[in-house]
Amino acid sequence: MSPISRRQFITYLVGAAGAVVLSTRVAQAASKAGDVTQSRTDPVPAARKKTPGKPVVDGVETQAVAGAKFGMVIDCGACIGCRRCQYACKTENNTPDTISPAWIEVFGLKNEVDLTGHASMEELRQGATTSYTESPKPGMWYLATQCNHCDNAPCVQVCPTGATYKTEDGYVLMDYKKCVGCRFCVVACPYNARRFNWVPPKLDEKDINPQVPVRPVGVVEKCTFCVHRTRDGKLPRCVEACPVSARHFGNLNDPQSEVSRLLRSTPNFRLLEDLNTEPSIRYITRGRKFTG
Amino acid sequence: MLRRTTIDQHQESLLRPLLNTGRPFLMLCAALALIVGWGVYAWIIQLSQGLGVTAMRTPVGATWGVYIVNFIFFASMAHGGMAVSAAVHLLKAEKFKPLARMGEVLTIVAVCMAGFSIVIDMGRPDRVFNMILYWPGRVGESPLTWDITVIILYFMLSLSFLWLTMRRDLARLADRFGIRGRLYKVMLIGYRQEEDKKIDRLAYWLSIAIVFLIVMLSGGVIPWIFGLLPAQAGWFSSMAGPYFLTAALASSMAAVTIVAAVLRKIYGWQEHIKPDLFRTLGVIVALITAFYIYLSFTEQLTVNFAGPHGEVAVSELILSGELSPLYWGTMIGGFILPTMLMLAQAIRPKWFSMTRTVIAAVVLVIAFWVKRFLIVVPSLLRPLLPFPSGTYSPTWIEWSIVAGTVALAVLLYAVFIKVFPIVEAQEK
Repeated sequence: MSPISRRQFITYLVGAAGAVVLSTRVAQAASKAGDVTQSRTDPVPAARKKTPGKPVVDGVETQAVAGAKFGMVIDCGACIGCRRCQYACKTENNTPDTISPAWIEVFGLKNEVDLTGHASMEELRQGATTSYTESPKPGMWYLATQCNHCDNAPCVQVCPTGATYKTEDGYVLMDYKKCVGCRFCVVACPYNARRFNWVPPKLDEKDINPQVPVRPVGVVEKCTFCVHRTRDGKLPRCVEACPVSARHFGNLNDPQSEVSRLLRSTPNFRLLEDLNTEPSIRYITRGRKFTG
Repeated sequence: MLRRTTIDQHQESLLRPLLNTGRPFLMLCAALALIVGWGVYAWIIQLSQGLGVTAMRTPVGATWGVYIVNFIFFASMAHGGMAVSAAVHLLKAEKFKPLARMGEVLTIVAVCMAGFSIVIDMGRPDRVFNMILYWPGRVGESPLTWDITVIILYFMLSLSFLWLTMRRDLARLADRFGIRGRLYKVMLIGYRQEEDKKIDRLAYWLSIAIVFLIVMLSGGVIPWIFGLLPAQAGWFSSMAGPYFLTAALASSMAAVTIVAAVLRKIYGWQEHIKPDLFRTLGVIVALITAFYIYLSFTEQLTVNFAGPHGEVAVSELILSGELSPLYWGTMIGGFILPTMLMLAQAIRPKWFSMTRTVIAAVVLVIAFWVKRFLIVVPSLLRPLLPFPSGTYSPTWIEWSIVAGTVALAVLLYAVFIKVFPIVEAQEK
């Protein structure tokens, strides 16, 4: 056998490397296709397992709603800072006490406008409070924040395993089985919306909502827009629980939906819009204002 | 005839680490092993109870802590050695030749520790292979996958480089050492006398690839983990690349200086490694560090002159807030003073002192570790939304694991010099 030249050798090497990359991609595509019936995520509740053939997200069998793009409108003029949304979310989504704050955080902010300049971050932070005793307090307004389900989500971009992903109907979701717990998404999120299971979750068996998987230690989690409810046409628990209707949820692509009508009729803004994350939560200040 | 024996003696002295192993060495190894064991104990606690045993928290507090600092530190440690070695092979800087392999081994050990630090930081180290499994789909987007790619490439190339350039020494020694000789023979598979010339050429091309990877790693994919995230004020900067690269080169060249000085002292290699070499290294380190100080200044000037609120909040935390003693202590005591000392030695050769140079190098290496802490942590303590200000002071578990990784690095190095020749044989 004649010895191969260096040039040939390098050609073979490059070819082999290309083949390896290609084959892993093909294998990945194949495994994705085969994934439809089997669970990719943590313990899927038995009750949920009976309809085969539906893709599983976050341990919940549900399918993207074709043509929809879900979004939320929060009325910070109406919000009274009672934190019922926070509590409802926590019980609905099996969030353990060790994750604090839960998926929703409501800031109480001082209603002082300095007309010669706006409050610096440090001043805002000093005035900010996350405790909810005796709310609404005079002179305060409330800003509820959670995962913004950004269309241009930095968390999705940085994830090394694809454990967090954007769906066609607008959700940013987590695959808890893929997550390696590097927390790159946590630092990439400008809204600090992501939570991490620093310790194993402790939940009372009877309190567990079987529709939502319990997340294991060492993975990241966050608001799912209650994907297990909203894709079936129900409202997220935080929207249901709000006593003053400060929260609205629906299909932004449907011009007749409540959120679309609200956004057409009311000036609105999104948080940290200059970062180009394209959040799916919009804020309005339509409701009753508090005068301090 | 007489000349021949002196050369042999000269060469023979380079084998001292392989021939004599004294009590102090064994005691050092035992002490290091104890620290490593303590670190492993701490890691086992962390594995069984979750990362909650650390001081890292989210969303209020630091999501990343000393493990990531350690990762940057070790990854950058990997460069000085290869830079020296590349200088030897590319620029024919024969003067540095005795330091070449010392640097290469430093690189290998440091890269291992860098990878290890990432695994320690993971919430699910049991799923570390997910990063490889899903790599093809994510490598287009996630900077962390770029890191994995470049680190693995860098490790493989440095290891091949070390192995190839060591073969001719091993061939010479294979028959002299019993058990080690057998290991050498395994590593000498397919060795022929004629390959030496070929390997010289190969080393030349490998050096070019490695120099490229140094820029890609410390001047690219590692800073891009931070510099590409607008979410964190203080990180988001196009300067991150050059900034990190400068730090990496300065800190790792300082580390090479320390290693060379320690080995020279212990094994009496005064005639192989001349003091002049240390002055040159000192000047290189000082110039790079001076450039780093200048970069720090431009960074702080930019964010303070007309910076957005988020940037100012982070800057305040380190310039006048609770981290300011650490910041100013590092900048003045850790960077400016050692740099001035080394530069003064360059201007006035009679002021040169080996001891002072090595002390300055040690101070610099520690200062660069702290500086990485001051890059990673403050931004995380000042979120863009009005969350309460968090704090971060690492727990004993974190310090133990960090100490364990450092001790493990030194231990691996110590084992290496007892198994393989740490200085290339000089051809006369």
